[in-house]
Amino acid sequence: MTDSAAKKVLLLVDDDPANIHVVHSILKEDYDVRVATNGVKALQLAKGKTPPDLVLLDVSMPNMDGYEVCAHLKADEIAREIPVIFLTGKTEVVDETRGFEVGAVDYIHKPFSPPIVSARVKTHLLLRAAKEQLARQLREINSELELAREIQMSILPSEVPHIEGLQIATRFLPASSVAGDFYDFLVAGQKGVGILIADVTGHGLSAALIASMLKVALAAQTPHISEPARVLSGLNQALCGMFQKYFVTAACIYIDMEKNALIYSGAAHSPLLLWDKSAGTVVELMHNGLMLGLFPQETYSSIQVPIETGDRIVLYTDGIVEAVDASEEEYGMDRLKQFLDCRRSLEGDQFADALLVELSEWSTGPAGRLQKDDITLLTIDFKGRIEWH
Amino acid sequence: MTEMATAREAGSVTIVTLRGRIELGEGSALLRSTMRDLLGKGRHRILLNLSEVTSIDSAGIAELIGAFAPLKTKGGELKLLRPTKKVHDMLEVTRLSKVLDIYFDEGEALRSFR
Repeated sequence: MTDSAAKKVLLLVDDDPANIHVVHSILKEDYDVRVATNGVKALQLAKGKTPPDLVLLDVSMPNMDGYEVCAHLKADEIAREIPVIFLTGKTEVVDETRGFEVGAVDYIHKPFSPPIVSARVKTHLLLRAAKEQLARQLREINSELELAREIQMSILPSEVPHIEGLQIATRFLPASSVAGDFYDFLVAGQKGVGILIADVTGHGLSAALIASMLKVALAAQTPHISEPARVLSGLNQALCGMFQKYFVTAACIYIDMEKNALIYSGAAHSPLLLWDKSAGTVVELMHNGLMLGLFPQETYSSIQVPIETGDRIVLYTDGIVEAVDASEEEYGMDRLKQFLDCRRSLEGDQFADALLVELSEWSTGPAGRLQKDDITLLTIDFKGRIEWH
Repeated sequence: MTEMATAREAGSVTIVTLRGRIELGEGSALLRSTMRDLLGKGRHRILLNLSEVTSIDSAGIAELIGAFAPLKTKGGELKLLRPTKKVHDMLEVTRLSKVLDIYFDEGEALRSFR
């Protein structure tokens, strides 16, 4: 090594000049070796402006012995990261367990064998570098996840649209810090509203980025919002070719406030549920094409059903029906439909809260499981327009 | 149930039997590595026996599609055999049932390979 600035710094602590000489001569070529002849001096240097990368520490020293020096170092916020190797004499009776307990990483025994000293020092410096790199990478990953979470929260609508005759409630419960669920509204004045709910495969940064692409692609569909099948086709075209192993399932609806109609189209998404007040039952609507983003040739179509005052539309992502209890049983579609039927008299927001409570009770069985998937729930209550004759 | 995959040859077709959950994590990784191995060995006609697959999630579906595309470009085929009700429902909801051929009889499935 020719560049002395790049040399790693070692701190050699020993009260015996002969030992200092031996170790120094072994390591001086490759390292910047600094010397302390007692514990107090060693601590000063270790906690100083240019702390060493590694400490070689004699166990038996007068006043403050090696164990004590090591314990002090390990109690220091910064110096604790410096690896400590103990140096012990052949005749000294040392308690090696104690050395490891106070935080040493290794022992080197006297008389010193130059290859062993070099190899141990090199190994522990490499280990330390690897540990620091891992910590740095972990920090980077965490900050990326934080960024992904911010992206995601920023792309979800901050409030529900206010449209006369409609009452909309939304709930969003990510399973991890970053979810793959997405929803958005496109309002066509007071004439109607288009709603998209989507589930991007996976979680994390990739899901958040795909969801943000989805938001941009959806905004481009604003002129066609009253035609959900066309919206899904447009989204599919926009997403195809962007990624290979990810895809998006989605349901897109348009509520026509002038014709009192629900137009619905799906892309590999779970069925829409409709509490049909006049029939007194829950209706499952499913009209799916393939998932978005993988099949550019896919075409989508829609169905239209009349809606009337008192009808409730429920859009959701898989996390709801796939919530499992302690015995791995899924909450399932039948229970969801039954819940919708039993609690139909609750207002939208109360209904949404009650369903989340029900799901949390379902999945927090005796085993106390974690929620596996993201949960998104949208309820749209059709109140109808007040007609003045 | 622990996820596992076994493969056997039936003429030019490789029948892969998957067990357990094909979900994010071990199950989907197993499907991916199994398919990659077969592709590496030049096996391009694959019948995936799903009769012992208890569930599949979006990550598993992604692996199925991920396996389907490279096979197709190599002139190969991927077909599914006897999916359980739960898996079949998932294939119906996602409409993959119109992309991937599904069979309930092994003989019929084997004869369907060109």
